[in-house]
Amino acid sequence: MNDIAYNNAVDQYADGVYRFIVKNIRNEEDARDIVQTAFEKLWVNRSSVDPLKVKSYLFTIAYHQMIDHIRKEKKYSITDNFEVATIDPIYQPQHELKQTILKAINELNPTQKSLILLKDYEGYNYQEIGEIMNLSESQVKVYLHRARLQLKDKLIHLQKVSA
Amino acid sequence: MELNKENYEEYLLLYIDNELSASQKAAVDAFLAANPNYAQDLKDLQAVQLNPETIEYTDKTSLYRFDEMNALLDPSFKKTLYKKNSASAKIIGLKKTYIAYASIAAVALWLVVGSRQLLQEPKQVVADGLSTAAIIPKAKDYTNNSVPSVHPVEKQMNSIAGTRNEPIKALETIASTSFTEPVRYTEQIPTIEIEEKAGEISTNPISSPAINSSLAAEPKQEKESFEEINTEDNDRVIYISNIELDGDKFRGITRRLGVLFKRNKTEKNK
Repeated sequence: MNDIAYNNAVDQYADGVYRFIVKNIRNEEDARDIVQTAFEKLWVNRSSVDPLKVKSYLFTIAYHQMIDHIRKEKKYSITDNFEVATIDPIYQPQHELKQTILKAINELNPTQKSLILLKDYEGYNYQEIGEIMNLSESQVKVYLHRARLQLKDKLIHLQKVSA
Repeated sequence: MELNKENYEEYLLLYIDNELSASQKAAVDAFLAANPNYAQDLKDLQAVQLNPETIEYTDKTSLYRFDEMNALLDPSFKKTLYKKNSASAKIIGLKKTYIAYASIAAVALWLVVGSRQLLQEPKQVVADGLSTAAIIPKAKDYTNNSVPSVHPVEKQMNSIAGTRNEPIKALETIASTSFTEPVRYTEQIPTIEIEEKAGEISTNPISSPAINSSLAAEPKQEKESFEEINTEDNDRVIYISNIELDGDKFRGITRRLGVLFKRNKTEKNK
């Protein structure tokens, strides 16, 4: 990987990695630091990184950086710029539903949230997610399914409450 | 594994995760069609899926890397690009002045070299005149050997060609060198034609070698003038590449500085 390929990777993946992290930790400044670290590591190891696996390499580094960051921070801020960023002003009923879902997602743990983000945003399959998060394929499947059912139950519950 | 009322939920989850084969998907669709009361489960699961949204990482320039530039910059300067504390500002200031001095020096050097070249150019024109003059007697010698009657015409034509070439050369010195070659060709072809005509006018069969010899002399003249142009070219290439190199460095440095200022701004805002 030369500097051109590296700079292409910046163009292609910086947004995705940043989105993944900022959705998880909801702190833009820290997310930027994590993205920067991930790309620094890619630069340092550019000769040994498989050009076809640059994206998952970046996500892997960023994910583990994020876990370290969460461990250090310990506290999990609940300021919801997550919700603010996704307001859809046109469809009011959908907007409410979205808010409800996002609230529910924010209550998931970082692992569950990462699983859903990697699946729904990046479209990775179970195996790829497992490689990024250092989990087995069946663990990914079980954890992700648990998270989805949890979300579904929460949604149904909230809809019943509001009805 | 058979799809049934016990395990359908897992299949629905795999279905929304897009982890089923085409045939498995078809089986789920068929199951839902047969048991419409489970369709709501699928809808609920789809409702809690996230729709991708675009979030941009705005400061991509800070992530870009340039191998050659990295090699050119000294480590202390590079450090200042990544450091967050403003203590590095001093070093950057110093560097900036260095760069300013360097660019001034480069411009001055370029001017001096440029003016020297301009001064040298008239000399070259004179040299060109001399070289053509040196060729003319040669052509004359040949014509002397063959037929003396052609000689005055030849001489005239040569002198015309010579005088014609001179203003062109003067123009060439002003114009950029890359265009001089075609100009020379188009202008020289008519002079050869004239000479040929002159040969025809003389109508002397023995004059044909004279024409040939004058034609032979003509390419020689071209060759010499080409050599001179080539040397000029080389000189200019060096100067131009000099400027280009400076431009590259400057661009890279200004970009880096731009990133730095941007960062300082965001820090201040913070």
